[in-house]
Amino acid sequence: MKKLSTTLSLVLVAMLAGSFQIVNAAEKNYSLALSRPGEPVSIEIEVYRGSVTLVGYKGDTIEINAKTSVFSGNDKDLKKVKAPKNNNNNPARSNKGLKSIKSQSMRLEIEEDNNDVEISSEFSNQHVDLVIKVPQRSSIEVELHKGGDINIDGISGSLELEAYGGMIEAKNISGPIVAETGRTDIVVSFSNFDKTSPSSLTSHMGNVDITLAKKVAANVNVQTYQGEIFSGLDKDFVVIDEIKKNKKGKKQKIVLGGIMQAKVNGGGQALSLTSYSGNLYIRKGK
Amino acid sequence: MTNQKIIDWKIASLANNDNSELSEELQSYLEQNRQLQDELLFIEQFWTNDVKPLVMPSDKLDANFYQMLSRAQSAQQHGAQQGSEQQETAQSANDYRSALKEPSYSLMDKIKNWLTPTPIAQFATLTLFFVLGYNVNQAPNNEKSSEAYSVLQQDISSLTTVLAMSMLQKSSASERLSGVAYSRQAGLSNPVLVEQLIELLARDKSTSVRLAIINSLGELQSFGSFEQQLLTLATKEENLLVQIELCRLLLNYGSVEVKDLLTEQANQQQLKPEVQAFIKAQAVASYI
Repeated sequence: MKKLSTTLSLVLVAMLAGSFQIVNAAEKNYSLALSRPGEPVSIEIEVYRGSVTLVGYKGDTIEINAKTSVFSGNDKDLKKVKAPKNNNNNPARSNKGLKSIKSQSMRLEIEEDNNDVEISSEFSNQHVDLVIKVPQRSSIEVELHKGGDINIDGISGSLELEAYGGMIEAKNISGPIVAETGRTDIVVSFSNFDKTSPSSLTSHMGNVDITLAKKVAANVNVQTYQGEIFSGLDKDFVVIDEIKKNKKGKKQKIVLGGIMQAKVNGGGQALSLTSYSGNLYIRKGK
Repeated sequence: MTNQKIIDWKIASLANNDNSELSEELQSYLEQNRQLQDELLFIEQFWTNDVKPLVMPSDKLDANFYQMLSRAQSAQQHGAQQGSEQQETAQSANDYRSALKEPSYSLMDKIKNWLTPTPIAQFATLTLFFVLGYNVNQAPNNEKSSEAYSVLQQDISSLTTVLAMSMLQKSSASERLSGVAYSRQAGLSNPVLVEQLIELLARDKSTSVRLAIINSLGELQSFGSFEQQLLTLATKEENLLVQIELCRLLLNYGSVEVKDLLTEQANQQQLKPEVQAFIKAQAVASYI
C-alpha cells in the first residue's frame, strides 16, 4: 500500500512538478487529489502579485480556482523589473505599421508530494487571484509580495502569512498563527485558540485587530510605539517587562512601547500583537 | 489510563494551557484515590519549584521513569554533540524548508517527534518521572538529597535546552516561537543555546520570532561576549521594530560602555530618526 502511494505520488509529481501551465486563460479550475487522504496536509503558496483566498472544508482534495490578468504596469514596481532600454547598443527596430501585443500567458506551478503541496506564481507582470478550498486541518504558509490581500476562513491548522502589499484577514481560525504585514492591517477572528504553540501578529505600520471567542484562553501581549490600544476585554492589561526586571532586583522604568499583557480566561498560550505606528484592537467575540 | 488523564490535566492546568474542570467521573475517581491525590500534590509542588519528598510514587510510575530516563539520557548525550555540529554547519533561513524535506532519522529527531505534538505536557511528564524516580531512590540524608536534587535540576534544564534547540530549527515560525519560549524556560544557561538564538535573531525571516528572541535575551544575567554582537546588530538592523527592541535591550541590560555608544550614535544621527527618538526618550525616562 505504501509502495502504491509512493508510486502515485511520483506520477503526480512527474505530471505536476514540471509545472501545470495555464496559457492564454483568464480562469482555470483544478482539483488536486492528495497522496495520503486523511493525513496532515501542508500547503505552501507564493504569489508575486495578486490575491490569495483559502477556505477550509471537510473534503480531502485541494480545489484551486485561478483567475489571471495581465498587470497594467502602472505601479513603480513594474518599472523595476523591466529591462533597461537600449542597454546592448543595438538601435531599436522600427515598429511602424505594427501593433503591440500584450503577453497573456500565465504560469502557475503546483506540486504535490506526500501531502506537501506547493503552489507558486512568481511572475511580476501578471496578476493572479487564487481561491483555494483546502481540508480544514491543513497547515498553511502564504507569501504574497504585491497586489491584493490574503483571506483565510475556517482553517484549524497552523498559519504562517506574509503580505507585503495587501492586508491579511483570517476568520474562524484557531491558530497557531504568525502573520506579518508592512503598512496594511491584520484582522483575525479566533473561534478557538491553539494551546501547543505561540501566535504572533506583527504589522509594521498597519493596525492589528483581533476578536477572541468567549471560550478562548490566552496570554494576550500587546506592544505599539506610536499607535493606541483599544480593548473590549474584561481583563486589564499590565506591563510585564516590569515584573521581569524586578526579578533581577534592578530598577525598571518603561516609558515607550513596553509589552503589556492580559491573561484572558485565566491565561494560556501567548498571543502577541505588535505594531510600530498602527493601533491594536482586541475585541470580545461570541 | 485514568491516572494519566488526570495527571495530564493537572500539568496542563499548571502550565496555564487548560482551564477546564475535571469531568464528574474523573473528579469522583480522584476523590477515591488517595495515592493519585498525593501524586498531583507532588506535581504541583515540583512545578512551583518547591519540591519536598512528601510522597512515594506508584510502582507503575516508577517503572515508567526508568524507561523514560534511558530515552532521555541517550537523547541528551546526542543532543550535546548535535548542538556543536549545528554551530559549524549553520544553515541560512531559506535552507530550513529544504532541510525539512530530507528524511531524517537521527536521535535528535526521534526525541523531537516524541516530544510533539504536546511538548509541554510530555516534557513535564518526563520531568515528573525524573523527580519521582529520584525520590524513590534517595537515602534519608538531607545533604546528599540536596546535592542530588541540584544535579536533577541540571538534567532537567539540559533536556529543556535540547528541546529548545531542536524547536529553534523548525521551519514553522510558530514552532520557532515555541523554541524561544523553551529557551527562556531553560534559563539561557547554555552558551550554545544563546549563540543559536543570536544567530537566529540575525537572520530569521519572521519579525515575530526576532522580537521574541530579543525579549528572551533580557533574561540573561550578563551579555558577556555576546554584547558586541548585539550592538552590531542593533546599529546595522534595517527592520525598525527589531532595531528599537535591540536598543531597548541594550539600554536596559547592557554595560555602561554600550549604553554610551548607543546614545552617542543617536546624538550623531547615525540611526533611523525613530530609533534616535526612542533612545532619547529612554534616556529622559531614566532621569525621572
